[in-house]
Amino acid sequence: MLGEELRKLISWINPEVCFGCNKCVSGCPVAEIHSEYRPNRIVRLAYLGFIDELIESGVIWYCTQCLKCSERCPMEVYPASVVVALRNIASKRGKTHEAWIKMAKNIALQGKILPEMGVMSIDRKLIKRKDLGIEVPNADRSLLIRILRESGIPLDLGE
Amino acid sequence: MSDIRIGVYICHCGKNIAGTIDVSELREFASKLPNVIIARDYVYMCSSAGQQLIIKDIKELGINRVVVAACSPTMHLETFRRTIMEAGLNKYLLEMANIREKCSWVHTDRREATEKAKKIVAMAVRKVSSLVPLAEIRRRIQKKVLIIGGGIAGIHAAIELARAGYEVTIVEKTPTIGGKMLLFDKTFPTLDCAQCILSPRISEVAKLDKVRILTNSEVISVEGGPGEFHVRILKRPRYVDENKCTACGNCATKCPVEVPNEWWYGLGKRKAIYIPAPQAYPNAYVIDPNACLRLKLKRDVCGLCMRACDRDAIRFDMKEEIIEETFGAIIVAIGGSVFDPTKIGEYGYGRFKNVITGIQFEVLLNVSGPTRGEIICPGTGKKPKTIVFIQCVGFRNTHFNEYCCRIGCMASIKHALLAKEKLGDVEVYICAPEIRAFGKGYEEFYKRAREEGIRFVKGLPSELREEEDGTILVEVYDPILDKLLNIKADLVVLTSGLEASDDHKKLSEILKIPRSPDGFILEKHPKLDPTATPITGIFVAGVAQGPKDIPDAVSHAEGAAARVMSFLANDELELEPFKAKIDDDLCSRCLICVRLCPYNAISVEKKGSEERVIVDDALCMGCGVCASSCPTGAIIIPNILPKQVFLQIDAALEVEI
Repeated sequence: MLGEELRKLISWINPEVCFGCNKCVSGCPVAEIHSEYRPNRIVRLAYLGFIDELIESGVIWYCTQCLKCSERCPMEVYPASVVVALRNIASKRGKTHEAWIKMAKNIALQGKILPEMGVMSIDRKLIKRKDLGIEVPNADRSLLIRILRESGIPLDLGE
Repeated sequence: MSDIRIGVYICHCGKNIAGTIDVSELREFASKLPNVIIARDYVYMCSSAGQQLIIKDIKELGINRVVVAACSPTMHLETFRRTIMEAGLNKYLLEMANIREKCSWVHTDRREATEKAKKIVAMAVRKVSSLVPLAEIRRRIQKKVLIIGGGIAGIHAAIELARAGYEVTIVEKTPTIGGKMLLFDKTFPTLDCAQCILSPRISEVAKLDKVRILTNSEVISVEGGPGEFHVRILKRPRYVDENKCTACGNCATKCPVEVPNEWWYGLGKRKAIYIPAPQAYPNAYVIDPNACLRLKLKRDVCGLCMRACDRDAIRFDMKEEIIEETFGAIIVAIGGSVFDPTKIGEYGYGRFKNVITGIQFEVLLNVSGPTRGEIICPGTGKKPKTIVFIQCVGFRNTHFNEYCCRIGCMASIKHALLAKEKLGDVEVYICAPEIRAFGKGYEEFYKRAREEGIRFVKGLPSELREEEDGTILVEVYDPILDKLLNIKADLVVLTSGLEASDDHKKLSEILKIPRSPDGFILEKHPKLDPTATPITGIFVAGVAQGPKDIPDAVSHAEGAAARVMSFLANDELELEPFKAKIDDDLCSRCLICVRLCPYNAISVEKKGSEERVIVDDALCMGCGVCASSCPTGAIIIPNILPKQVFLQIDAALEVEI
C-alpha cells in the first residue's frame, strides 16, 4: 500500500508492478558507489509503506537523476520519479538534505546553482563573460523563488 | 395473449449473482410480471438439478416461454436451449437475461444492482412474450479440411485428420513444411535430436494420400460460412519441377547470386536457387524471384542453373496459380515470428557483432548451418570462452510484449548445456530475473544445468558495451551477492520468443476471426474451448493462438484436429435461423444493403426484366446492418424485429428505480 501522499505525486506510475529484474541496479551509477542505494529497493520500500525510514536514511538524496533506470525498466516503474516524489515529501516535512538547501539558495539568489567561475586564458588570466562583452543572463528570479518555495525547501533569503 | 405462459428462472451462480443481487426480491418481482406463471431461483440453474426445475415446469405447468436470468448468453444459451428442447419446447422460445456480466459483476451497491436486475428481467419477459417458434437452417458439410500453416502444429493436425479419413489440404507460405522446428538441433528438456523426431512426421504427412500439400502458397480470400468455406489460394511458382528435382544441388553451385539466408536469420548466405533445409519437403530446390537475375530482369539472361541441371527440372515459365476450393472446416496454424531486438538499443544488437539472438544461436548449433554446427563468435570467428545469455528480451515488457514468451528459459538452458557439451572449456552465464520451468521434466532440466555448472544470475544487465577486441562487457547486479558482476563475454545471446506476425492480422481480416490484445488469434474460451475460434468451423492450433513450446503446440494441434473431427462427423450443420429476410413488396431496390453487408451475403438476382434483392443464408451472419439501414424497413431478422426491441425499451422505462 502506497501512502496516499506518495500515490498522489506519482499517480501516473504503478510501482507495484516491479518484478525485481534488477536491470535498474545493474545500470545505476550511484549503486556502483553506494552499497545502500538500489533503485528497486527504494521502490519496494516505498510501496510497502516504509516512507519514514526512507526519508530518515537519506538514501533518496544520492540519485543523480540520470534516468537510466526509468528509461530501461521493462515495466515502466520509473524509479527516478519515485525518488523525486520522495524528496518532495521529505522537503514538506522539513527534511531537505542540506546540500539541496544550499543549491536552492544559490538558484534563488543568482539564478544558477554555481556562481559564474570564468575560464583561465593562455596567459593565466581569469576571463569572465563580461570581459568578452558577452551578455550575462539574468533570469527572472521571482518566478524561480516561487517554484522553490512551492517544493517545500526551507529558503532563508534574509528578506 | 392468454396462451403465453412464462417461467422465469433466476440463477444465484453461487455468490456471483446472489452476492450482489437480492434474488428473492427479484423472484417476487418477476412473479408479478404479466403472463408469468412461475418464477423460481436456484443456486446453480445450469446444473442438472436446475435444468430439471425448468423441464418439470414446462411439463406440469404448461410453461411455453422461458426466461433464464443468469450469465451471458455466450456462456449458457445453448445449454438452456437444449433443456427446453428436452421438454418439448421450440428452442427459440427462450430469452437469457444477463444479470451477471451486465449487472452483479459490475456493480457493488446491492440496492441499485437489484433494481437494475429487475429491469433486465422485465425486458426479457416482455421480449419472450413476443417470440415465435423458429426452425433452424440446415446446411451440408463439406468433409474437407484446410490447414493454414505447415509447421509442427499443422503437420500434426493433418496427420490426425487424414488418419481419421478426412481430406486435408495444407497451405504453407514458405517453400517447405516443417516450420521453425526445421532449424533445431536438439529439443528441450530431453536433448533428443529434433530432426530425428520431425523428419519422420514430415515424410509421413507427405506420403498420406488424403493430404495435399501446397507450398509457396497463401490463402487470399475466404467466403461462405461453416461447413462450406469457399477459399481462394494463391500458389506462387517454385520455378523448379518438384517431381523432377532430386535436390542434388548442382544448380546452386553454379548460381552466381548470393543473398542473406533468411532461414539462417542473417548468419549466412544462400544462392538465388536454394533449398531451405536438407530435410525440406518438397525435397526440391526453389528459385527466389527477388534474387534471380533472369526473373528480376525479366530477360533471357544467365540460365546457369538450367545448364547445370541434368534432370531438366528448372522451369522459368511457371506461373502463379489461383486455386479455388470449398472446405468444411479451417485450422489456423500459422505459428509466430521471432522478436527483433534491434528495437532495444541498450543491448546493441545489430551494432555489436558478437551479440546475437537465441534463434541465431540455434543456427550456430545446426549441423547443416553456416558453421556446420560449430559455435563460433560471428564477430571474431573464434570459439567463445565465455557466453552470457540474457533472458526476457522484448517480453514481460510493457514497451514490447507484456506476456511471458514461454520458451526462452528452457531454450537458453538447452543452448547453455549444448555449448558446454560442444566447447567443453566454456563459462556460461544465464541472466534471468527468474527461471520458469513449468513443463514436464523442466525443473529437473534446470537442476541439471546448475549441476553442470551453468551460472544463473537473477538480474538483467542494463546495457552492453563492446570492447575494441570485439568482446562484450556485461555488468549485471547479482542480488545474492549484492554486488555488480563484471563479465567479459566473447558471445552474448539475447533470448527472445515469438510474437504475433503480420499474418495474424491479415488472416484475422480474411477469416473475420478476432485476435487477443497480444495479437494472437483469440480462442473461443481460454480454458474450455482453447482450439475453437468464435467463428463456427474455424479452429486454431499451436503458436497461432499464443506462444507455445513443441509439446504444447502438438497437444493443442491434436486437440484442434479432434474438434474438427467431431464437427465434420455430422452430415449437416444446424445454423441459427437469425438471417435477414427481405420483403419484396417493400424493397425499393436502392441497394444500400448490398453495399453495406460486411459478409457479401446480399446480391441482386435478375430474372428477365425483374430484379430482386436476395440474401444468401449461408453467408448471412444476422448482424442486422442491412435491417437498420433499410430506408423502407423491408428487411427483418426473425425474433429481432424493431417491434420487439421497442417492447424491451418500454419494459425498461416502466419500472421505477
